[in-house]
Amino acid sequence: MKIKSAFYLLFAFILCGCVATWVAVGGKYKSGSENYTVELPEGWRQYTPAKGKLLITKDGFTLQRIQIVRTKIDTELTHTKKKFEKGMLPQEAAEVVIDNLRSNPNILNQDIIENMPAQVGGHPGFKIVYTYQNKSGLNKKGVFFGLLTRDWWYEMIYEAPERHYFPKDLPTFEKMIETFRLIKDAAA
Amino acid sequence: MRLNIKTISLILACLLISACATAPRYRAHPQINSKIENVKTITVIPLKVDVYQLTAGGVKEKMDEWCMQAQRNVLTAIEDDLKLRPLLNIKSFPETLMSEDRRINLEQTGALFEAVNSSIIIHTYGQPVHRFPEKIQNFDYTLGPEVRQLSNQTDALLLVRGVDNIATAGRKAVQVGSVILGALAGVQVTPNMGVTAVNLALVDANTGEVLWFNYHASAGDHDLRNPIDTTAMVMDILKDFPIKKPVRKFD
Amino acid sequence: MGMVSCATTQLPSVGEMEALQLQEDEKRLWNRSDEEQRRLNNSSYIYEDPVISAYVNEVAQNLIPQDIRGKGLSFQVKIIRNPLLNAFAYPNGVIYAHTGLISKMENEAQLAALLGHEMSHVTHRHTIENYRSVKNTTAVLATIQVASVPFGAFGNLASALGTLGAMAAVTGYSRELETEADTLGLVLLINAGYDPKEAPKLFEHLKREVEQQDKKEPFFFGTHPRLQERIDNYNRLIKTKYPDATGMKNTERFMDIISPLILDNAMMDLSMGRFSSAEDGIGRFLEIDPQNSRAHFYMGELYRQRNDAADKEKALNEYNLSIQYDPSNPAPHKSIGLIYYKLERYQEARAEFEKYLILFPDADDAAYIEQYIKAMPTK
Repeated sequence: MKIKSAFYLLFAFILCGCVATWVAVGGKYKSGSENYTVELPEGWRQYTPAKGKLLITKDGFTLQRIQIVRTKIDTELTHTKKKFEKGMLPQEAAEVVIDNLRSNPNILNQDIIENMPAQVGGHPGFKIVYTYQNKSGLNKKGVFFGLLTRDWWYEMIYEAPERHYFPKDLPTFEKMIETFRLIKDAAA
Repeated sequence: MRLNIKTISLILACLLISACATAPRYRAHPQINSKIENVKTITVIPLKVDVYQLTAGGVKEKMDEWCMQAQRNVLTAIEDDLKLRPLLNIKSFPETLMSEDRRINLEQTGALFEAVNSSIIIHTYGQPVHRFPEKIQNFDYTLGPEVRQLSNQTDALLLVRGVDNIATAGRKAVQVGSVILGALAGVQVTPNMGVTAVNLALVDANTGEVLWFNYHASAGDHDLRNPIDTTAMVMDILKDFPIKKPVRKFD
Repeated sequence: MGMVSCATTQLPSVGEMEALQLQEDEKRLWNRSDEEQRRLNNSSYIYEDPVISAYVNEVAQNLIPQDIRGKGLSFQVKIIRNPLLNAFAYPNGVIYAHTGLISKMENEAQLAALLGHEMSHVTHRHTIENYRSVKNTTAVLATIQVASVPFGAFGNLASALGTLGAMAAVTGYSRELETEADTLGLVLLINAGYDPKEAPKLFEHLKREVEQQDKKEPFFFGTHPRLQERIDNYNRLIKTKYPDATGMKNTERFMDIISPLILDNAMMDLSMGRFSSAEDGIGRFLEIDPQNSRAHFYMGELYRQRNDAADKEKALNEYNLSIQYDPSNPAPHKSIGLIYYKLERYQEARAEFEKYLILFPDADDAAYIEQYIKAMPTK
């Protein structure tokens, strides 16, 4: 299928809601398939067609986005050929995430504000705070919590325009992260 | 009729347009009535008014002189309409040459407005499954208090965003709803025909809150290079402006 | 992408005009160029090194032919932080060359060959020529707006460039216009006193690089067969028109000035996980400056992150060389500490971490290091 036709069709389908569904969320959320539970904030909505990842927003993805994704540890990242490895220290895993961010050619002026160890669901992980400018020239800010288990890695990301929107919902995200728990042990 | 991908898309898009046609057009802050009471001065800020020529090969070429002409037409139409509203002072932008800080502020305001605009279009005007009812009832969007650095001694900013795609003679004008909404929402879709869209947002100059929002979009019926066409579009958008024109009484 | 093959330019070149006079659509292209460049030039994509920047611009200035000077067209070269092998020019005379491409060059003559080629696209108005032929026959630019470009991880810079930059950087020009730029560029090279034999050498060298790395090359080289075609074209031109031509290469001056860029580019390769390219780049730098502490540290980082068999030993060796050449460099101590920590050689790890924090008390990653020290048994 030609790229233009596919895009055309997808855009029409999305607008007509044949694919997308938004579901109001709030309270305890359990993903047995992804092995975690978390308390979702009230008044937010989940974009359900995003299979294998939790994607929520309150005002629309262009204004804020929280996502939780679990990926197999040897999966290649989008913008770097580096991979996570079993037994990697959180700092080493953070290095890979930062390289992936720095190598992203779709954004400009990437800057790492903070990179430090963090407890994620009671396990040693890391937290990265970063900024960048998107293709439309909008300055955005994000927080990335990462956790490596034996076979998986988990990322919890909050992103929003740096102006007004980022600080507005940051406390909501931080509160949400405090409730994140793995269902089965991290060694699983 | 052969049901190829393009045909299916057109049918779906037309369904979308018909659904949109019955929905109320403007959106307003829940406390609009109290907030608008103190608005006596409005600065009109053209964030972008772009006019493209669509070539036979489907390439969009931005036409600088057409952009300038369209911007003049849009701003004139807005100012002419708003001046009819009582006790309202209209200022144009920028008042003086901009400092670097102010220029950066304007760029970020424009970029954030694109993001806010997309969200408003998709989640308060789009198909019901994409609408967030809570955002329609509690129309709560903002560009941040940083906007207060953009203009002095003004109560509100009227942000203007327009796009016009002029099809050359080689291209047929076909009703394509997805392209119209794409133009409104700022999604990069290269249209097959002429699409004109103008969005206006009234923003509290102190807090950055979006007080009122409206748009007009059409497929081939308007041309922003034409002052009469532009005035018609702008009048349609502003007919629901929260500061009303005086009602004319006829004896 | 369905590029229309067209004859060599029918527009008068800038040199043939009395003064630069832009046609209406050309003016619009220049306006778009200004807009795109404003964004690009203020972004993190630009490689900022005043010495290297002044140098490449000096080389460009020396190439400008007499018939262009004073016509209202000026040239400026900017370097883009990107390890891909690419360069492109906007119609208003601003040329962008990637660190990846410059880092692979061997001498100033090869740099001049690149710049001469790009300048010829500008002086002979290839952008507007190309644009006019494309816009009425294909939707190339529209396709660029949505298409994914097969450049690999770092390559989709096209999406950060505006449409015009993407057209130059991604799809390039027709075969005929590229050949014309090769031919005209060679004349500029010779007239400026450079050895023309370096022009095909640049392409041959890069072709080998692309083959070895199995890279999907960006448009500076066109497709693979076209790359060979252009090497053949250069060789034919030199043999028939300039068989006895010699000239300067300025190898030493080039390497002396450009070498920091080679190392920086290698680190970009490392960020992308292109270990082989990174190793080549750092190795090349170390040939020029074998006692450079930073370079040995980077080599150590490469081995530590690649983590193939025997890489730990190689990494430790490089870190120790880094310390040997600059004992005040804190970074290798941290990395040695990380290796020992993971090998559970805690005494050694502790010693290295503590040295790191003494040398660099305000380290951004101090929290990680303190956590390791705390977690390790004291005996």
